[in-house]
Amino acid sequence: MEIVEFYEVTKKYGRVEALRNASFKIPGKSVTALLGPNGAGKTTSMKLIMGFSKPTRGKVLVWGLEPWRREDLRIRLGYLPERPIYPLDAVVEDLLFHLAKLRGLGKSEVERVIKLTGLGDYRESKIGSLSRGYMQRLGIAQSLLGEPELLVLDEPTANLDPAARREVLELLKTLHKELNVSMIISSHIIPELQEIANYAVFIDRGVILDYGSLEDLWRKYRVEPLFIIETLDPGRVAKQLVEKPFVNAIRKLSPSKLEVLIDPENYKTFEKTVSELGELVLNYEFKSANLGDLYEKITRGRS
Amino acid sequence: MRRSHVVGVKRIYVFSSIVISKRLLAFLVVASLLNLGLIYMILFSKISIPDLSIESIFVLVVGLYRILMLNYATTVAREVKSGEIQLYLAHTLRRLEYVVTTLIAIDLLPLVILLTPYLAFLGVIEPGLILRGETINLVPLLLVDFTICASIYTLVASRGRDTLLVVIGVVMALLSILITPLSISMVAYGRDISLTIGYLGSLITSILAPYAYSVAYNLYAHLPYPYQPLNPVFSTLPSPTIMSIISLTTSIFVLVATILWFKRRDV
Ligand SMILES: Nc1ncnc2c1ncn2[C@@H]1O[C@H](COP(=O)(O)OP(=O)(O)OP(=O)(O)O)[C@@H](O)[C@H]1O
Ligand SMILES: [Mg+2]
Repeated sequence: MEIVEFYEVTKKYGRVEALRNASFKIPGKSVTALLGPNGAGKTTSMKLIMGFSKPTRGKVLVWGLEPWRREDLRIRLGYLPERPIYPLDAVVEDLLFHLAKLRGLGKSEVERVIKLTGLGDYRESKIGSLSRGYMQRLGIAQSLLGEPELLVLDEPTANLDPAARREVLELLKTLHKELNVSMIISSHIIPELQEIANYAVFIDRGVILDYGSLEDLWRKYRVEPLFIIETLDPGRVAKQLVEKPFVNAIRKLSPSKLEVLIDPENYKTFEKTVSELGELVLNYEFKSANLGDLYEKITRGRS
Repeated sequence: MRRSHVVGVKRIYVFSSIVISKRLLAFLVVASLLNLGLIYMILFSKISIPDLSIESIFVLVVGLYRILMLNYATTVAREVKSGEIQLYLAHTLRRLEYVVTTLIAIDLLPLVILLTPYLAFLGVIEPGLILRGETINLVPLLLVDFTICASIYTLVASRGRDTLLVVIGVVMALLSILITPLSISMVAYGRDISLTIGYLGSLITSILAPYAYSVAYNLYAHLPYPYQPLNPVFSTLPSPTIMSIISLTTSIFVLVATILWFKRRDV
């Protein structure tokens, strides 16, 4: 079932069209990357999902309901704002406690999100004194209050140094695994969400370029998917695979690991072939192709 | 999911208590200082200007309240402007609840100041005595006065206009302290153009500063003998009671408009 649906949504700010006839869908239980350059309309889309603003034309649905009319939807959503909008003179745990109270929750919920986001050492700090990385952790912590079903995270890695960026991405990955929550994450740095996302919406200057599951998009834009095969006999497996017409390249990574590049059209056929190899293959996994390549192909197809 | 049309009284309570708990101490300190000042003024005025009533002193005090009420109103304006409001809305506060909380919190400071002397005497003096006291009958009119001011502040604050809010605050204070008494005196004794301006001014201030209007109106309406006779047109000024009802209605109207508009606004 879809959690988010946009039907020909236009959003104007005065004369600026932040979104133009945008239509896309996001299925449940996905981690969606909302990708596009600065000014593409990512924040605008997220505010529409949160019900903070109202579409000028078209329809936005979240779980089948219009969020700007149905304020009760927000109890099922968690939101990380693009800019830190927290009261800077407040203490970390006080702010979390106040926000939890609004949701009808208590101290134990605050403890849970502090633990999940590793804010323990900073619980009594003034928000204004936090580093950017920890400010972002606080943002993620508050978004987790009340165990929302969908997290809407607006550029969680923006303005962070590479180390802090890594940490935040790792944190999001862990959270996705542990909490099994759906996420929509926006970024203007295209490849960075590669490891976490399984669905993507590409947007530029208010126009949706394309969207879909990454698997479908690899295939559609002929970005070669890459598989890692673990086997005790790489030589034999390689020999069998190399005959297949849809296998483009094979590389030996280690004595027991092969990297296989395949034709995007034949994703399923390849999986079947691998399973036919039976005992020979210990394990195989899909390693995503490059989101950057995909983005390049999508934008090239457009212009 | 159940659709709830009910205003979350609980959320309003939670959010106002969060907002108020941050400034309750400051409120009480200001309240005590102001009340001390008031007592001093009353004692002092009884000695030097025997005719100055407690009602007239309160006109000054109301002007001061109007400035103090800006304190929370500007916080709200900044919350709206900076987007901090998204944080509270994201955590299930509804737009309507945000507006109602704003009104309550803006109104609260003058209420605390107004009621602390009574609360302080409660338990010391017999309650009946307080209720029959000289100042308690001013309370309903003062409430009407706070409410029109608070609802106008709420309107401006919910648009995130913090600078405009301060300008309006100063104007509201001046209306109470200066413009109302001036307008009414112009109606009482003015000629030609000043009479017309005074009359218009009185009508406006009767709604926007109902307390000051009532005090000034009654002052002139009940002048004792040796004073110069008033312009006949003075008697056509609407009565303060009617005007305070109209003022209250205006407050409600402003508030409803604020809510309707705020519900459609991008935050
Ligand atoms: N409140 C607003 N008033 C006027 N214009 C706005 C407003 N919000 C967004 N815009 C404009 O709408 C367009 C899309 O903005 P949006 O913030 O959605 O982009 P974005 O993809 O989030 O960009 P970024 O990566 O810079 O955050 C931009 O041209 C922006 O200037
Ligand atoms: Mg943005």
